[in-house]
Amino acid sequence: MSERRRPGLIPRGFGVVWTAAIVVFILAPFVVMLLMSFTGSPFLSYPWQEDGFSLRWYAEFFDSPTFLDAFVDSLLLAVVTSVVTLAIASLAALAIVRYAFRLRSTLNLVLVSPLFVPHVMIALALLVYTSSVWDWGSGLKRMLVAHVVITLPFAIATISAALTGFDRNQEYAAYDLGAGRVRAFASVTFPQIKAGFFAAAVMAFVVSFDNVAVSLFMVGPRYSSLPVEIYSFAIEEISPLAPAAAMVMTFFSLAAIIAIERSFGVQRLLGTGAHR
Amino acid sequence: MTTTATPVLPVAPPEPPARRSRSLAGRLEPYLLGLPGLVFMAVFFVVPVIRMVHLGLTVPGDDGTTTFSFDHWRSVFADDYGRAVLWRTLRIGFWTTVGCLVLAYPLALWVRQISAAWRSFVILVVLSPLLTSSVVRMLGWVLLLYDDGIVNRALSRLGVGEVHLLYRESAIVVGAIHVFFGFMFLALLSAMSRIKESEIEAAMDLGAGRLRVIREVVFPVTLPGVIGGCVIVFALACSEYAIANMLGGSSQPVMGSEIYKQALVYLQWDRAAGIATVLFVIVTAVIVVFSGLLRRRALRGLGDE
Repeated sequence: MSERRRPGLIPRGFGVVWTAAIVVFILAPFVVMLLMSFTGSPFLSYPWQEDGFSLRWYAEFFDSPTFLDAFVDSLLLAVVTSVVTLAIASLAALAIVRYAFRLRSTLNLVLVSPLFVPHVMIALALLVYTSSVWDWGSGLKRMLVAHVVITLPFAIATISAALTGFDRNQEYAAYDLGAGRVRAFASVTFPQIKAGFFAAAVMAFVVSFDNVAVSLFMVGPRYSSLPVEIYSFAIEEISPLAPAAAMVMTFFSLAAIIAIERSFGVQRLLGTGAHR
Repeated sequence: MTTTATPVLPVAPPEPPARRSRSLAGRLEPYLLGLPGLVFMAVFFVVPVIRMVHLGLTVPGDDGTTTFSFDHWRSVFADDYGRAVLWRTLRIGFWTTVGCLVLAYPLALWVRQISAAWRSFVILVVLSPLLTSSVVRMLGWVLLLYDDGIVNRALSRLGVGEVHLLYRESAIVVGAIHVFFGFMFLALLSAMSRIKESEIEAAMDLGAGRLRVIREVVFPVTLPGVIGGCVIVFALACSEYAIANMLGGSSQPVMGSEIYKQALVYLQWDRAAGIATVLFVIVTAVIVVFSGLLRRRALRGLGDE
C-alpha cells in the first residue's frame, strides 16, 4: 500500500535500549543469586573472590534437614494439589463448556473468584476456618485445601479454553460410528486436548510450589514449605545457603516452564503476539 | 454490563451449547460434574471468607461471648500508626502500578515492531520470572541492594557516599515492580492486539508525530488492557506482605504484615480479620472508582468525534 517504509511508533534506538534495560532489571536478581550460590566462602561473596568456586552450599542445602524436609514437603504438596485441582477442574470445566444449565455462571464464578480475593484474606479465612470448624492443626490437609483454592481458577481457565477450542464434530463422528460417550471422549477428544490438561496441572504445580503468601499462614510444626523456609531463613540470617536454596527452587520452577512450552506453547496459551 | 478490562485469564464462561437435554439423566449430568467443584469451593472458600468477615466484626465480651462491633475496622484509621500503615500500603500499591505501567507500555509497543523470533525471546525472558517464587526474587534483590552488595559497591566507586538501599519503602516498590511486572505486561500485550495499523497510518498521514499518535490513537484503544493491568497490579501490590517484610524490614509495615502479625504473633484473629476486610474493601473501592473514572474519560473522548 505505502511505498516508503513507515517508521515504527517506537524509534529503534529507544526500543532496543529500553528493552535491554528491562531485561537486565528482570534478570539481575537471578544472576546475582546464581553467582553467589557458587561461592566457596562462608560469607556472601562471588566465586571469583576469596575462596573460589564451590558447590558446598548446594551440599549444605541437601544436608540440611529443615530445607530438605521442606523441599520434599513442597514437592509432595504441589503434586497432590495439582492432582486434586485437575480432577475438580476437569469435571467442572466439562460441565461449564458442554452444558447449558441454570447454575452454570454461578459455578464458573465461584471457581474463578479466588482470583479477586487477596491471598492474605484467603489464608486468614482458611486458618480460622480449618482450626475452629474442622479442628485441623498444621499439616498437609489445610495446606492442601488452601493451595487447591488458589490454583483452581487457573486450572478452570486453561481446561475450559482447551475444551472450547476442540472441534466436537470429531466426537460426534465417533458416536455415529458406535462409540459410547466415555469411549469417544477417551479415544478421540482427550488425546487431542491433553496438552491443555497438562498445562493446567503444571500451572497448579508451580503456583503451589512457589506460593509464599498463603503458605506462611498455613505452615506449622507438622508441615512447612520450601519458599516459607527460605523466607524465614533469609529474614533472620543471610549466608550463601539462601541463594543456593533459592536456585534449587528456581531450577524446579523453570523445569516446569519448559514442560509447558514444549507441550502447549506458552504463546498460544497466553494468546499473545505470534500468529502460529 | 459495561465493557470491562481485557482480563488476563478468561473469567467469563465460554459459550454454552444451544439445546438443553430433555432426559432426567441428561439434565442431572452437569450438576453431577460440577458438584465436586461447587461443594469444595462453597465449603473451603465461600464459607470461610464470610465467616472471616463476620469475625472481623466481633469483639470478645466480658463473659466469653462476643458482641458486634466496628472496633477492629476503626483500628485501621483510629491512630497514627494505623493510618501510617494504611497510607504506606496504598502508596506502595500506587507506585508499583505506575512503575509497572511506565516500564511495560513502551516495551509492549516495541515488541509489536520486532521480528517474531525476537518477540518470542523478549516475552519469554520477561514472563518466565512469573513462574518463580517471589521469595526467590526478593532474595535476589536483597543480595543486590544490601550494604555490601554489588549496587552499593558500584555506587561508592562512583563517588556517591554511604547509601542504604534496603529497608526502605523504595526498595519495596522496586521489588514489587519486579514481581508484578509480568502481570502488567501480559495485560498490555493482549490490549495491543486491539490496535489497528490503518488508524496509525491515517494519523501519521495527517501529519501527527509519534508521540501524538500514541497519545491520541494508540493509548485510548489499549485503555481497557491498561486498566486491567493496573487493577491487577494494584490489588496484588496492596495485599503483599512478604515482599514488604523482606525488603522493608520491620520498620516498614504494611497492612498485609499487620494482618499476619495480629493473626500469627498476637493470635488476635478477630483483629486480623477486621483489618483484612478493611484492606479488601479499600482496595476494591479504589479500583472501582479509578477504573470507572478512566472509562468515563475514554468514552467521553469517543463521543467528541
